[in-house]
Amino acid sequence: MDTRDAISPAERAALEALYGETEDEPGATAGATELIAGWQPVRAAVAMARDGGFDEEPPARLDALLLAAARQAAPAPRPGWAARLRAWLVPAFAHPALAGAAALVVVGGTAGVLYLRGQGQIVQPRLGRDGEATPRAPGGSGTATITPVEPGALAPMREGARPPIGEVAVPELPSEPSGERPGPPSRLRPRSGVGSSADREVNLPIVRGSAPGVGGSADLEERRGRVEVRETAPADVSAGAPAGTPEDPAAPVPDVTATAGVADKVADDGRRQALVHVEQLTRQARTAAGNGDCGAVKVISARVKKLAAEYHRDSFVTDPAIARCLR
Amino acid sequence: MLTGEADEDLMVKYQAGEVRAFEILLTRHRRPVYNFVLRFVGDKETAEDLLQETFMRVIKGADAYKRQAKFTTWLYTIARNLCVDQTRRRKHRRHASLDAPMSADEESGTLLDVIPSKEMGSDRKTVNKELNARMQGAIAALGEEQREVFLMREFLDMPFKQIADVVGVPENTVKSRMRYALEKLRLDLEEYKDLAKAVP
Repeated sequence: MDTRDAISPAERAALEALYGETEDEPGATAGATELIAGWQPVRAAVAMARDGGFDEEPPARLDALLLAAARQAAPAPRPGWAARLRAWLVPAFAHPALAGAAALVVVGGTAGVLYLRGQGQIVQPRLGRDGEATPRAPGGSGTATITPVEPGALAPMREGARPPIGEVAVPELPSEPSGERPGPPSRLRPRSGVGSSADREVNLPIVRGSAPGVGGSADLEERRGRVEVRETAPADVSAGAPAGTPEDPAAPVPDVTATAGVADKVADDGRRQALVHVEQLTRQARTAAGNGDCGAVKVISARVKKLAAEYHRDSFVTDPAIARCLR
Repeated sequence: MLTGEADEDLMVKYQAGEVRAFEILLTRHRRPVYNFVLRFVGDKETAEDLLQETFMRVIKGADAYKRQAKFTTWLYTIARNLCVDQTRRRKHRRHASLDAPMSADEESGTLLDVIPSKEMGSDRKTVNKELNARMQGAIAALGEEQREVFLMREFLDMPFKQIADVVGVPENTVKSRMRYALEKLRLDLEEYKDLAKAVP
């Protein structure tokens, strides 16, 4: 150690006491007090000089320079997680191929999820080429469920709109001029769980679905008005003077509303729809009867009886053309 | 706000990109550092350069700064090393002239001016000017090792332990150097003793 660096205990005690770095009394060390007395004026002179403007202010231009340098060298503030995620995603999806792939994944994923949940199932009611007027219920039963339909809702059905499953629909039947010989009858193809065995292998002629009386409530009301006039029609039938012949499939159908018992039991709108349906069946039966296809008439008869027994008894079987086949 | 925060916290914030933290550090330490450097090298122009360089090194070394280190120790170590390098370079170039100005300031006196005179100005302002010149001369006359220790202890109010850390010597060595500095200044400022005693 350099001897100049050596310091006596008195000097150390005096320095520590002079600058307040010890709590010991300087008088405890011999000679310290005298040293303090000698150095104290130096400290006082320094303090006086500093009070008198010894300290100087650095030029302000340095501050501006240093701050500019600090700003330039400062690291960019750390972005938040959202900004970091965005910074990662934007370049990745900016590429057209990646964007396309991402879109495919999104669409495919959505479709897959919907499929797995069953929400994307598209149900298209199939209209039987076989002339089956009753759409299949979801359960596969051959029995149609008749649900009430708003009167206004019948118009689109007439225009070919397909009803949801479970509702009775009037099938759109191929156009065929009245009185013409219909084309080769379509064969009923039995489907699993649909229809009874009696429905199978029956030739059923197809009738145009736009026959009068099929459709909305306006038609129904119009027909009701006619019913008033034709109240005596059944009597005529029984007298052997049928209003229509098998060769005239467009002949007026015995109005279902004429049967007061049926109208009383079925509640308004839903019933109207049901009646429209059986009326349609009746027309089909009449056409089949006119073609001599009594097997089909019997099948339809069974269905009409099942759907509306009173109508079947009062109107269906009393139709002259149909009655001929059912005898 | 940031103004009340410790130097170390401000430095960490500057590391994170907060320039305002550095601005506060600069405002807080520019004056002491400048005066330390000025008294060390005795030349305003050089002192300004060294002050700028000191803070530039803080900026450049901000990434390497660790929270555990005391900021002032780090700052004054930089300043002191720059001063030592500067005085060593200057020693090789020229020796101090007795009749050369002590600083670039035209009004600053020469070393001859600060030789104790027998008369003292009665005017306080004149006394202060005289004292300042004498103080500057006495400090400049100290050896480099004593000067840096004296400046850090008196002007930067650094404890001996921290001075030892900055200078890189044992604490006892610092105290010894301080003792020599005080002894020399006591002799140089003898004629101001009575005046200093009168200062409250």
